[in-house]
Amino acid sequence: MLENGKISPHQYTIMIAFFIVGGSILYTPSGLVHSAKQDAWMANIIVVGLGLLLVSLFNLLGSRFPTMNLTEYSEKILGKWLGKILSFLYFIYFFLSLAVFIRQIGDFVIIQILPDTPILPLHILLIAIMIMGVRYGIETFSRAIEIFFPIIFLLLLIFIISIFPMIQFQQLQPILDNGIKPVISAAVKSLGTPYLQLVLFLMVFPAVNQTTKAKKSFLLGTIIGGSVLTIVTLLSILCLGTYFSENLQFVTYALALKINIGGFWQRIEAVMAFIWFISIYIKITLYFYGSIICMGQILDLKEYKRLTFPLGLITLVLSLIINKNIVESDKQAEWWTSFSLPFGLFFPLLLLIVSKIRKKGRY
Amino acid sequence: MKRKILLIIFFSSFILLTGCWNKRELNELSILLGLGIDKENEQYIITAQVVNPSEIASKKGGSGKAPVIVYQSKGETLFEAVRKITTVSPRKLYFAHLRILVFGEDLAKEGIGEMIDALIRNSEVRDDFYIAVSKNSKAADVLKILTPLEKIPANSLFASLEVSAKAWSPTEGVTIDKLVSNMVSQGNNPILTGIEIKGPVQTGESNKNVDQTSPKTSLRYKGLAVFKHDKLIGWMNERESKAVHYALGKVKSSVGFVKCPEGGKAVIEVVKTKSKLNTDIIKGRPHGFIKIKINGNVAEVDCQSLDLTDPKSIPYLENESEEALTKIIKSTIRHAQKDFRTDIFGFGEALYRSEPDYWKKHKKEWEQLYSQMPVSVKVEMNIRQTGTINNSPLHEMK
Repeated sequence: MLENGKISPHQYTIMIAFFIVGGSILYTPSGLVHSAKQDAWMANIIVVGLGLLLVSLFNLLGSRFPTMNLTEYSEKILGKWLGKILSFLYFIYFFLSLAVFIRQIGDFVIIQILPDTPILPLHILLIAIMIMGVRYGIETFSRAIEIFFPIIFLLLLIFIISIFPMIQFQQLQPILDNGIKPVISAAVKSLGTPYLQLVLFLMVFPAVNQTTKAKKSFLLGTIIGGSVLTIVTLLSILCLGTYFSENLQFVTYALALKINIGGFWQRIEAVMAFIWFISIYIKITLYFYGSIICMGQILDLKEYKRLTFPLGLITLVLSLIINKNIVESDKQAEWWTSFSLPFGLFFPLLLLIVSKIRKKGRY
Repeated sequence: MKRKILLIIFFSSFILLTGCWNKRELNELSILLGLGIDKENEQYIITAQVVNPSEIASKKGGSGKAPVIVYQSKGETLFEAVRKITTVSPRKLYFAHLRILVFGEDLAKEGIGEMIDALIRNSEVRDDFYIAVSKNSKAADVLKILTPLEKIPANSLFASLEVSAKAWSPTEGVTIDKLVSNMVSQGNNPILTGIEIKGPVQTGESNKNVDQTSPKTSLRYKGLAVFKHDKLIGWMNERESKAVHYALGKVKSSVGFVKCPEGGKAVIEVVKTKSKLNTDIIKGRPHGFIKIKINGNVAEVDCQSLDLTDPKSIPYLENESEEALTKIIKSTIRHAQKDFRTDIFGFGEALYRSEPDYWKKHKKEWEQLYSQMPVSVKVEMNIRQTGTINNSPLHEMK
């Protein structure tokens, strides 16, 4: 066991909700509106449904081995070497995602807030606190998340209420004018971020102190995160219309820019940025934690903290070279789902089936 | 030992906390409040109205210099021209406080699409400023005129547009996101408020202009610039632009008058309006419907014949104003359909919302369909109050 920390189901729920909101709150609307136009919010609801199916799959797999993480039982199910190869593939997946998300924060800050600052110092700062978070261990980290939760929840609520006066319901019409097909294809395309990524929580699952409750919190966290994304998508269509929802680089941030109530409640876009920074920080730290545990397991280490600095440095370099420019980053969202599909769906399914055939784990 | 190291780290981190990478202090900024764009010989001419801080900041009213400075530069593209301003100005322009953007009439006729992109792409530009078109003059001249009461002309223009849209209604403050949404939409076209210089430009440029009680040169909003996509194709007068805003439900408060039974006028103050615009298919052809609900009060009675103690006179006033308004709105729509052939009301979008299949089939010929489309207008007027008196003193003088 690399990790001895224990977290409560409640903390687990919050962690998952943050994880889902984190990477997507600024990006989801434009991706979905691109193909589903004004019906994007429906695509969002469909994708939450699909996400819940995935989560049930993860729950099935996780509860067969309540005290082990993904890498541990893949070795047990597939045998040592095959399991290690699979773990290594997962390591690559987690690690690449990590670099991508760090780059997203860098890009956002440079485009919207600090246009002349080089990206390197931003990444250094971020990776420094990320390493710090992982070194403290999952227990301390999840307590920190618990502290942030009410603040973020309140800010999000303020944000949503402030947008209400700008709503124009006619922006939603006509409903389903191209039929249900583009909606479903948009939903399936956007499965990659963030729902397939939830496979990461199979690394955290054994740390939850009550397995049965952990299953429920996994589903509940997904619903909370998914609803936030649905509301945000709906609001961006209602306020900005389809052209802006599709073409703005950071739709939700632009939404916050527009808030102006009575001439004094305005310019609160930093609130939106704060929500995003906190939630994506939680997301990248969890990714880093996942990659480190993965690596530690592959190398059969007794303790994972040694890995934080070397892997952190590699992350820094990788995050700088992973995309050449912003267009490439945007394009990436399109193939990310197909890239995530084996990790998020096929491998867990394979593990589940093989474990049933070879009668490993709890029934 | 460990404590000492921590202390050293603690204090040395202060060096890193001095500020942002690309900090720009207040004394390095020139705060842009008004921006005018013209086009001449394939070159964009931008005119920037910048605050003169020493004149604005002091409470004693400054030293009598102009409160704003106007810089001008030329360039092949907007961004180039903006950066070129640094060759005449000691400070770089700061866009976040922009209040008003004025397009020159000539430029607007050629198309404003190219300008818009640069403005929405830049992260420093917010979208809370208003956009207007200068009528019969260059945008550059509009920004040179000094205004009384409100020291900074751009602020004056911004406030006046906001107040007049609330209280008078032929004007409207259009922000850039609304403009873009209407520009890219196939079933809608933008409209912008016009701005006109009254009096000679030269006298308006100096502080002497605002020393008088009634300045020789002043700015005023006039008319409505009608666009087809991003090109200006014509102007509507005040009456018509009011009708357009009634049809679009944008009137918050306004004033209208009706004729009394035996001559004279009664004035109705509009306090609340609500409008509904939709397009339906009737016998295979599109048909527009506009329904307007207005709440009003009697604000002024300039005639002897109207007896406000009689309950019948209220329906009379209601009917008269309904008829008058319907007439103006109908003629305005006809004007937009036949002469401009541009759908500034958004009938196309309304059609897309109600009949998406029909719209998809016919959106290429929409301009043709629109110009021949019959439109039914229904106005419902409710007069509630008559102010603090009932009958006019004129009535008693009979």
